[in-house]
Amino acid sequence: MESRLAKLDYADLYRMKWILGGLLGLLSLWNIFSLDLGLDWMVRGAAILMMAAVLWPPVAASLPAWFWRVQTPVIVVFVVSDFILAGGDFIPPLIRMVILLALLRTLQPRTRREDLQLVVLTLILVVVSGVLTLEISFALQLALYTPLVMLFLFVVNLSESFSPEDTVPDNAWKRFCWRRFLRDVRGLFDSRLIIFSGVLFSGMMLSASLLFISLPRFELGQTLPFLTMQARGTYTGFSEQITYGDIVSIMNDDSVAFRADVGPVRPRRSPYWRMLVLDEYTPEGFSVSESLRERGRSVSSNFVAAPAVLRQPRGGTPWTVYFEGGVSRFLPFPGSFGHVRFQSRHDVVVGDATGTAAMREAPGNVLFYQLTGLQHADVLPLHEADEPLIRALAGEASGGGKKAYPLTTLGLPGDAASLRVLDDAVAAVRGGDTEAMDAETFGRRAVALLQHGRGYSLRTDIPEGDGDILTRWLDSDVAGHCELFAGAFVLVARRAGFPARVVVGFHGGDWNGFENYFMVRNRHAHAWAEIFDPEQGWLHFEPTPAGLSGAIGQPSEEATAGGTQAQADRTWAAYMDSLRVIWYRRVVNFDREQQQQLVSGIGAVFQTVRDSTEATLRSAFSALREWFGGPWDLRHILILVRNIAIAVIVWVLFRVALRWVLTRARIRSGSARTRAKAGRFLRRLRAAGADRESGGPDSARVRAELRHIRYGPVVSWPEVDAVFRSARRAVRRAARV
Amino acid sequence: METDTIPAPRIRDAMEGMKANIARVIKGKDAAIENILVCLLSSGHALIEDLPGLGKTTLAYCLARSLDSGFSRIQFTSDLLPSDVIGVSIYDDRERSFTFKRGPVFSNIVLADEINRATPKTQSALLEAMDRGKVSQDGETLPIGRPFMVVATQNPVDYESTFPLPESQMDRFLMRLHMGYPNFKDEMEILRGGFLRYDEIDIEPVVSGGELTGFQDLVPSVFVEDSVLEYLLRIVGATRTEAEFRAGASARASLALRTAAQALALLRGRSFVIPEDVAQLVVPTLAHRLVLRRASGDAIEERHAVEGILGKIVERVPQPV
Repeated sequence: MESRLAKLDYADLYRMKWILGGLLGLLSLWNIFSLDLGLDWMVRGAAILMMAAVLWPPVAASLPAWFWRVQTPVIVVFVVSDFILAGGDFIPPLIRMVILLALLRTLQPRTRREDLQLVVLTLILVVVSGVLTLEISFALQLALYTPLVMLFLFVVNLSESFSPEDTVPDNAWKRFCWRRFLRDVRGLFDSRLIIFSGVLFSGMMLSASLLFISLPRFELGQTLPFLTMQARGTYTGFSEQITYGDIVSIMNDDSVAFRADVGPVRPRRSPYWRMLVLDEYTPEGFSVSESLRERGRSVSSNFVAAPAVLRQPRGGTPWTVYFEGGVSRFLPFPGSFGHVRFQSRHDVVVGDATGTAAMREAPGNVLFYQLTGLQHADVLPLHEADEPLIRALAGEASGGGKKAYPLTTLGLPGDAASLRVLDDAVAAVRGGDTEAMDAETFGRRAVALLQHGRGYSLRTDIPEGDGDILTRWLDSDVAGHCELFAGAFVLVARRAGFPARVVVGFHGGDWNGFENYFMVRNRHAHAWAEIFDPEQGWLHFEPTPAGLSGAIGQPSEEATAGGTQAQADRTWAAYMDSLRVIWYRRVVNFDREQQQQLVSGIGAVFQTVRDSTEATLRSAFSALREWFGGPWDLRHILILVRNIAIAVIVWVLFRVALRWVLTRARIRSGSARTRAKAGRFLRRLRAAGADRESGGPDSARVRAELRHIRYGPVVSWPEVDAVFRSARRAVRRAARV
Repeated sequence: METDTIPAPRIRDAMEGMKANIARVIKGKDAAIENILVCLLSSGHALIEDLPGLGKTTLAYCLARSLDSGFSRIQFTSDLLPSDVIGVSIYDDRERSFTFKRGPVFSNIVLADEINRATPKTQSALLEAMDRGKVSQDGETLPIGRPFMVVATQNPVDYESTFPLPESQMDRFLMRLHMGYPNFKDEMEILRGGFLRYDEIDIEPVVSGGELTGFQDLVPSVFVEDSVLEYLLRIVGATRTEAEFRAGASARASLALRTAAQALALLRGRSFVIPEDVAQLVVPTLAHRLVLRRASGDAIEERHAVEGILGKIVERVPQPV
């Protein structure tokens, strides 16, 4: 049975070109959806129209002529007004313009010029959206876009060779039927085409990977500072002014706020990710005081070192945080840190006194930073800013006027009702103990008091009445959430004379069991408290029940409020999330250090392979030499003869089997390719002038055999490989002549 | 039959023997000899169209003599009756019944000399016998036997009192051949050899009738690869779209060209057809089946025009390699 290679006509190629073009357009819009571009209806409309162009090509291809007449002026007006209305922000209108042009190119009957324009336009969309989002979907998009565009260009080239006039065939969509089209396309898939395409694509991916690994690192965001745009993200609402209920509202959001690489081993206790320290009491809630804000140290660098007092020696496992874009401008830190290294230069305000840092504004897309010299102890060491507190606690006058940080950490409600409730609470904590109590003991007792008979609930029904909301809640026995527990704890502590502050951030996170990292979601948002101890510094306390007992340095594996237990997450969603982290770790965050590590790793592997091969060869060679050097008796010679005979038999059997398999495969898979190859040799011989009789008897024999393969029946073919070898020689000989 | 069992080299040797045998007598007409052998091998019939005295009859005679088989010659005239060709039933007084007396068509190689001189009725009787290889008489069908080949001749110049063969009947001939004038050297040799009447020519048979029938049975088994068939069809298709022709070649013409190409491949010792075989046979196999749209008064001129157009078609249609 002869197999025939499927043949295409120009209209077939045109149809393929059309559908591939539509798919390219659709694919290029993929990541655009995750950009906050504005004019969503336009992007959605473009996607729907492109989809229509792909699914119902006859309809899309028969748009009325007036449409094409009016489109140019309409687009010009739209684009110009879009740029004017956008003000100075030129990226969104630019992308919108490219989307519009790509849409038109997918809808119109295209000749070669428009096909190439479509490729350029979609490529712009893919690259711009990819660079702006840095999402893993960009990698997937590229992995799909690249073969598709290669296929598209291949079809464009083919159709050019079919029709040099480069026209649109009239009959392209007459009697178009998807089933028939797909059947025809399936007929084209021949194993050789698939193998060649696979090899080509793998080669391209390999060379791209090698380029990626070997190119000097540079930071795109730093090089092109204007290329920043807000990615669509979740806004948690962490701000310098937290009113009651803010944290709870954040906890309703399940999206990932950041991911943290903490090394391969899960920490024994769930980390507290501090983002913001609220020192000032206001009736609406706690906030960052003006004086604390002013203390912020502005740094414009990609490397931030904590002040000497906090600086820890470098070492330990560095933690890397992949902070999602748009979550917050306050960066989460698991305790005090020594150094923060960003991927690129950033403007950061560092709160040395509070162990926090904030960006000028929420990062537009994912932000990477690495923390070294981490101190996970439940104490934030003393800082020079705390001096006034030490003096105040020692009884020295703090001076009049508005209190500045750190004295703001002693602020209390002014009304008598609240103070009375607080006094009662302080008395209950002290429990009649009149001796001076240290901060640690007081804190522990206060936590016990707050948690005594009081449950945890995200919905609270605080009784109406006079006084501060926290003291009213404290006075009641209703359940509360972390903000209330932390706030009430701080007020009680302050009333007892201990400076205290509320810390907000995240607690715990889901431990991804696939790639070993924390997925910290917005529902892990949390508030806790710190009390000042003049000896040690700021002591961490967890007033919220079902969490850490409040004792310092006692690790706990229990679940904490809000389900922040660090259970290993091995769900499908976690797997998908782990892919994203691989993308961050290996691609986006691939820096010079990793580059060097990788190169030296590859070098080491090669070295190992070389060494082991060399050792194996050496031992084999020495064994052989020893054997040959041995006494040559009859047995020795017989063994040698036997081994040579075995080798020859194996070789002959291998050749016979190979020939049998190849012949069977040739008969089964059809002979069209072999015939085509023989035809190519005949052409080359003719081109080289070897088809003249002067070529000699050898040349005539080769030509006859090639003709036999080209036109003769498969069963009577001469040995194909031998003929091709002779043909190759004949071609070379003819070329020399 | 499996194509790899075709003894192509043996057939080539046998046919080469015949060819050499004929070429001893017919000088310098290798192409015509080869073509008539292709006709013989394809079980087809040949029409030799040329001027008188160029060796048409001698060629047919030599062919018959090279083959160990029967030969008969019918000189067609306007008063020739069908019964003169196929035979007649006569009353046998002793047997008291009609017995069929076989005509000259009951032979292996039949030379129908100046076929266009006979009436259409007589021509039809011969052509029917050619087509079917059988003769029907008095409700009885008699097979002519194998091998059977009619070599008809006609004079393209002298049209006085002739009945030109209609296109449909031209289609029955596998090929139309031309002898042409011999060149100087060949004619010198002919002159040196002295003039011989054709039945005085001393020529020995080299292939038996039975052998030839065996070869003929192998012709349909010669392998024709699809691209070669496509090439053949493209050529035939081109005659159908050619503006100069009144009508293109028929499907019978396609079949004839394929069979002839298969026979030529065997003649050259191959068990498969190559495009060159097809290209070589296009003119002799198709030219007599095609008629110009603007008929020329002169038959030779018309023939040259048709052959010229066919030659251009062969040049135009690319050969599959």
